[in-house]
Amino acid sequence: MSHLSTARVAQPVALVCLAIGLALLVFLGLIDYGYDDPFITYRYAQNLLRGHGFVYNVGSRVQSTTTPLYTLLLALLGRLWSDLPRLSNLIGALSLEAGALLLYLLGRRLGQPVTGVAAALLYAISPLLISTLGAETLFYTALALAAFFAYTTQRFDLAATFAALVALTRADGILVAVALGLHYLAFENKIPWRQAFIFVLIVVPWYGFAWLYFGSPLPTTLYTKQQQGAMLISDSFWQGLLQQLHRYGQVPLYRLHAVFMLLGMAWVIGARAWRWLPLLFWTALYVAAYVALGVSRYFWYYGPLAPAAALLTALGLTACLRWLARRWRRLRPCTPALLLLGALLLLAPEAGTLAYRLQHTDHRQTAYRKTGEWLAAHTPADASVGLLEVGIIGYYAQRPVIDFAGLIQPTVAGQMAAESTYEDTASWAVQTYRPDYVVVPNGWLPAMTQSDWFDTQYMPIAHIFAGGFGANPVHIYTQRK
Amino acid sequence: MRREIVLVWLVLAAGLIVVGYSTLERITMPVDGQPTHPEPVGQLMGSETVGQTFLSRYDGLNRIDVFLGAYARPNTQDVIFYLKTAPDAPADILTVAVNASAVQDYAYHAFTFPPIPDSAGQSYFFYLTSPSSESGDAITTWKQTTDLYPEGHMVQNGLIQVGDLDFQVHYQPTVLNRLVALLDRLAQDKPSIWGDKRLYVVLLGWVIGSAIWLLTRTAQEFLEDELP
Repeated sequence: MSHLSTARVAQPVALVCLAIGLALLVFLGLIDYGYDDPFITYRYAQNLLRGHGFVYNVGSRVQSTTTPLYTLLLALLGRLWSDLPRLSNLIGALSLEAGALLLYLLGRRLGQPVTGVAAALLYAISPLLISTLGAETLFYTALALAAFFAYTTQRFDLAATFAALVALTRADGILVAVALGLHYLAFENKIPWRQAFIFVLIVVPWYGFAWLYFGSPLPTTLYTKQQQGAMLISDSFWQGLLQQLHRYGQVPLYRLHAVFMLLGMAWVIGARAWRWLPLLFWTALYVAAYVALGVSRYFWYYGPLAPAAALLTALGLTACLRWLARRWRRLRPCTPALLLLGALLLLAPEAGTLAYRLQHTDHRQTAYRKTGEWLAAHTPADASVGLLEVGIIGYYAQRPVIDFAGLIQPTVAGQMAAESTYEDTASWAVQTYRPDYVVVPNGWLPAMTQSDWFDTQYMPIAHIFAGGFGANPVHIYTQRK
Repeated sequence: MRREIVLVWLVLAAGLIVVGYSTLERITMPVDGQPTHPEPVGQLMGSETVGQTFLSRYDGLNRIDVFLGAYARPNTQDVIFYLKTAPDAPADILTVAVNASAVQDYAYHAFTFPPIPDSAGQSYFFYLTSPSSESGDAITTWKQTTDLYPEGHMVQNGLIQVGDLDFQVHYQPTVLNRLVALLDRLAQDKPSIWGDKRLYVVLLGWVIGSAIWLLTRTAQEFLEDELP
């Protein structure tokens, strides 16, 4: 075996070793990491496991999870490991590193293995993605990358299958099929009827079932998040994107990412490297769709932008080095060292953010879990609970929930208007549904909890402390008899 | 070719230092202590002493914050902070004096001192006195009346009390301390082998080793295959 071919074999082996190590580190280090929203999905999966059907509140057929395939996957694997939050983090960690390997394979397939390695490294520890651990985002993004990789290898049926799975994981995943379909149409000059049929065959059963079961093929969360987005107190997806860019821009080494990303974009256009286009086009479609839908900003919406960001940065770095080697031939022997320098400088802020993430968890998570467990232990099984964040507390409480943010009861979302606040929707929901218990984190909803009407109807019954510095208690109120 | 290889390794070493620095920089030292305070202890004056025993988890103990109250008035006398190894230890390790006029009402006051190098795993006792203070011109500490801090207890006028002061223990954020803090966090609250810090040392070594292997292979491939 020649020196070069040894390197060719060693490279993927080293990458797989790194991916395994990172998957273990991310999973074990962040085994109890979580945030509120994914727990809504866990509750659906748990109800499926318990035979209550695809519901959040038992007996109420409302589709408040955006991710049917991921819910089904959790319910299926939940038979093997019933700790759904940790199971989801395991799926997430494996999906993250699988996505990195797919990005590498994509680069290798398109004749740029070094770009593939750089992109895979940036993706494997991307803070945008790791912050979404526990949700379906990492699984969704890995499936999308599998679709793009299958497409570049010209296995179009497989690409259509993966594209359909992305659409089942989240409805906006349909944009993967749109991006691939349009690319195929533009460069192959024909309509991919066969692949369209495969796509429809996989996707339609779920949407048909959802229509019959829930009364609508689309989750209510779309309407709710549009309503939330219309509230003046909410930031839109676009505003959130600008805030993310500003936040990253404050770290000097992340500005280097921006420079290489722009260079990468210029290279794709200048070199007419249209084979990279499907992934980039999908990302552009994704941003455009979220802006057009007018949904409110949530940090996990930005995770799927990571593959294109990593790829463009890597393309910019390698294109820049190739240009340097062509322009100054004497620099050629130094380019491997420059490549390493560039890659490590790009990885430095990401590694720092990963370390920070490994060390810090959201204080709310512990308080919410304790609150849910308190409700499960101290309230009747049919007692209803009013909440503003229904994920973690709802999952551990297993009580019927009235959601002040309108995800579980779309009628609450119907109260949202430009001038309204969550105080208004909470007050309306409490007065309309009269939940047996109301849960309010310290300092939240002061106008409602200090109002006369609330005081005459509810009284505090417990204060849950998470412990630790900076942690605020959660107050539980019960109806006055 | 030999020169290029040396250059690659030099850059790799420098780059890893940058990555290591930027990673460790983001690791913060945990703060130990007891964060709640339902009631004040009472005016600290004359021969009164109030303190707390605690366990230092890391080397480089260099600051203790005590939650103090000033009764919403200007106080004028000196408050003295003492640190020793135990309530009955004969000698103080250090003392820090502060005038009560510098004490903010209902807030933590930081008593800082040079780092104690071998403090990890050691028990300590801090206490406050203010001999020249009088009623109406004295500060107070705040306390928790139930025992929420199992590694120590409140001591008032030489007697052990049920409960703890509201206090924070801080450590010097050295490279080693940060690394140990990260490993502690990774192994925290995990059963059997998953709670063993050595597992995470091996895992981090695995990740760094594979990354170096991958990067050197990739650099070689870039030179041999991708450059014109």
